[in-house]
Amino acid sequence: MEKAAEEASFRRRVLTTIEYLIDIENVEDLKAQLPNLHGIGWDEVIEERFVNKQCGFPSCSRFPPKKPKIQQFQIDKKEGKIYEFCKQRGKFCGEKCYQKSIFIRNQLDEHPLWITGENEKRMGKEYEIPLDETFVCTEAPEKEEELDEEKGKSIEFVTDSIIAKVEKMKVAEEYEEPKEKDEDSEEKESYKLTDDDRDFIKSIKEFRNSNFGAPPPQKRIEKTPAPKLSEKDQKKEEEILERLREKYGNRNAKQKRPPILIAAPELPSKEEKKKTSFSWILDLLRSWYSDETRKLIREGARPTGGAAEQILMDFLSGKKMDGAELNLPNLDKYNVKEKRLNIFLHSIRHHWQDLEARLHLTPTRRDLLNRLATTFHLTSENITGWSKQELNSIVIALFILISLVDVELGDEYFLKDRASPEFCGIARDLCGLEGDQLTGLYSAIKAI
Amino acid sequence: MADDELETYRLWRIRKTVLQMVHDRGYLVAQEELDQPLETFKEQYGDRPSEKRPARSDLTILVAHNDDPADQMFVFFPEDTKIGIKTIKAICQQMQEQNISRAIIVVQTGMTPSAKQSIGDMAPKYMLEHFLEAELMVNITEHELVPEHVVMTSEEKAELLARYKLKDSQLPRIQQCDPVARYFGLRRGQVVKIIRPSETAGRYITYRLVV
Repeated sequence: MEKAAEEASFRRRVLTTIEYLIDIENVEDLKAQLPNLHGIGWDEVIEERFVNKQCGFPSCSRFPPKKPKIQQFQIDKKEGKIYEFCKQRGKFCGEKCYQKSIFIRNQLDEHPLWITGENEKRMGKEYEIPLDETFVCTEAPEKEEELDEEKGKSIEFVTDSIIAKVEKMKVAEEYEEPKEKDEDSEEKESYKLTDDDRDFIKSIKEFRNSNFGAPPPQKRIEKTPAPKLSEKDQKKEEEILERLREKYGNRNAKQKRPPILIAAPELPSKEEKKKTSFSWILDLLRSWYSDETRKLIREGARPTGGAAEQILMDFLSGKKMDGAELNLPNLDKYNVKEKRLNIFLHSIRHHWQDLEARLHLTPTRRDLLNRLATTFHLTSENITGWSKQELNSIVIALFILISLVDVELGDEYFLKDRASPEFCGIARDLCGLEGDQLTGLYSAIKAI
Repeated sequence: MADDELETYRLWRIRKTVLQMVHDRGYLVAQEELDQPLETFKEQYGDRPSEKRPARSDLTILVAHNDDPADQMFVFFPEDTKIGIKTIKAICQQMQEQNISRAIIVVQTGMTPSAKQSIGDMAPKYMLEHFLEAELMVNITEHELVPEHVVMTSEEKAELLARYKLKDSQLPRIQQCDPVARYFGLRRGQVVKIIRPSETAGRYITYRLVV
């Protein structure tokens, strides 16, 4: 309980100190109050004074600029740097008060009074109040506004915390020319110090020397040279190495295996290709062929009397009705055979039409293809999925097949088993088949 | 100017919420004032805040409690965007002169930490509460997700504790800095009754002790 009461009293004391410092006019009074304050308490004093439209530094009677700068950054085009404006700085009448404030804040205790209590170190500390006459302010030299288009490609961001700690900065003597560590630094000219920069560095050095004593001497770290071995030692070392090599051998070399090579399958030569060029068509045709197809080719495309005549003929010849051959209604939703036929006709449609157009066939003959196709034994493998080139060959083969069925067509285009010059030209155009090849194909199809 | 228009609208909204808040706390506010439309507000106070018509100080409100007309409360609208100890002191002086112990300060952007501390220091004698303007743009108790809160009197609290045979520490709690608790200006030790709709029970009542 006592502790809590004590803490509360300390808190109140800090608060009254802050209140007191808001209206303070005498610098001497300030000194007496400082032991009660801590760093953040000091910031609060500044804030309170600024809110009251006074300069943030206690005892300063001037006013901060009425409109604090809204600008957050200053861009230095010449040096390619962006400086952040300190918000704290705007709360003072000028740079001098700001520096004085920092000077005092650095002396203050980090912890508040209610945590440390009234110890001797804190209360007995001699605080130094910077006086206007003696305090040297390190104002940044004004920079000339110059446009340099070559530089300014790389922009460095400088936070204000860096600028505020200028007194802690160490000026490296060796670095006469600051080197930028950008990736593209090679492309640029190395930065050369201007007179302004030299003056600036000089002023900082002077400030450091006058305020904080001479800079500590720079120590140069030298690499210790590798110890040289005498001839004897060197021989010994080589011997040891030799032994080690013998013991462990060239392990890495053994581990290396020749890479596994897999020879690519040889490509069929062009001649072979030509030979087999229509063998696949024949295979395809064979897969299509059914008894009905053979029958159609054998009997020619004479108009049939339809299913009724067929049944009558079958009845008269005493043939037994086979259930499998009857066209019974489907159990499935789709008639698979019909579907396949449709797919097949659809897939060759364009090429067939193209061929018809080239041959100037009358549309009445088209149904021949349909009649032929209905006799085919179509499966899911042989109805579609051909390339354009293949389709051209297939249409040619189909036409040959049709001309076998239709005698008139056969006479027109394949008189005496020789392809007509007109058809030869078209076949050459479509799938590069020569006359004798075409004749070969014709006889092959005929022989199926 | 568009800025003036917006600022007037903001001031109207803020004043409206403040009046509702004060009304909900049991202070006397005319129904006319509660329902005041923007046009009437403009006629009464002006529509050029940039030219101090209205200045924020014009909006200062003084209200008396329904039950005890001696219990009065101020609502201040300080001109400074950020207020410090000095403003607090000035307000306290004014309260002292008029013998009023309660006040609400509507701050534009914020307060310095020391000002907040000084409010705390004056607590038993002068009860100061502060709200940001942005907080008062809407009345949070009208939000559909905020259930109805009823502040209980000390008698009601005693009855509740006796009925359920409870000590007040056994009640569920609500923080003093809870937005609704701040809206009603609840003090430590008070109990608030929260009535929320329930799908199963129709409505569900819970009590919370302010800590």
